[in-house]
Amino acid sequence: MATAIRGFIDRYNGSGKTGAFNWFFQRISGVILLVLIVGHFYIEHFYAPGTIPTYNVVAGRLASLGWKLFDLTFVIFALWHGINGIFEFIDDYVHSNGWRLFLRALFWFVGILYLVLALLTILPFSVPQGGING
Amino acid sequence: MAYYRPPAKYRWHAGFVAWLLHRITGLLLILYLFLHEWLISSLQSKSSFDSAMAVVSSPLFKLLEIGLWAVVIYHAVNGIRVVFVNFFHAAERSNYNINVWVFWIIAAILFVIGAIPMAKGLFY
Repeated sequence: MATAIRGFIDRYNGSGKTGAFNWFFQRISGVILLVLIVGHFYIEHFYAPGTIPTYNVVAGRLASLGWKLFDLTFVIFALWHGINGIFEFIDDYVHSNGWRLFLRALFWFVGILYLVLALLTILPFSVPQGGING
Repeated sequence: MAYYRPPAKYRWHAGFVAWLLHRITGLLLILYLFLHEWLISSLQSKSSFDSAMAVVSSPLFKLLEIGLWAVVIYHAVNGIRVVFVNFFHAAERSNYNINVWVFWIIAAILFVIGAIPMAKGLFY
């Protein structure tokens, strides 16, 4: 009896295999993304309707630490939430162990690739010569 | 490989449609994120960025942008409904279907509020 319980705890406690954390954090990240997407859509789509976002405007915005943090937070939560969503698809619709392993590994790789891509894209911006409106 | 096969047929009640649309919009959004980040990260020079922005400011892309807003707002509002279902008893037998409709109406209102300034952008 004791060993059976012990085995149960070992199998499911802290192993990360139950998916409980992923399930819960999908809700948390979703609510956080709701706030972030409102800011993103407001600044990129509604703030100046009809105008084209030029390189100077975007680069000037990304030169500030605040927007760097905003965009990085947004992209990290969006990637985690989206790829965890893909993992839910895999759990529900892919039934062969080989394909599950392959697809999980693939989207781990894609996620890390896109995270690095986001860091490389967002971090280097500084105020361009001639100011942000130049 | 043994796995659970549901014995019952799917029934097209509101909650099932809401769940199905949540899956479809979620898939569209992560594919869009991959495309969006890839494009933005490839536009490192002023000339390439501004010429790409000129392309995506055409009426066709403005219409697609309104479609993106619809997908985003559906997934966001229905996601809040999912949180209410999970944590705030929004899936009781007595209130489930009406709740789905309440959140669809909220999504529709928010879509129209956002789509009006975007549609105006079509005619600048």
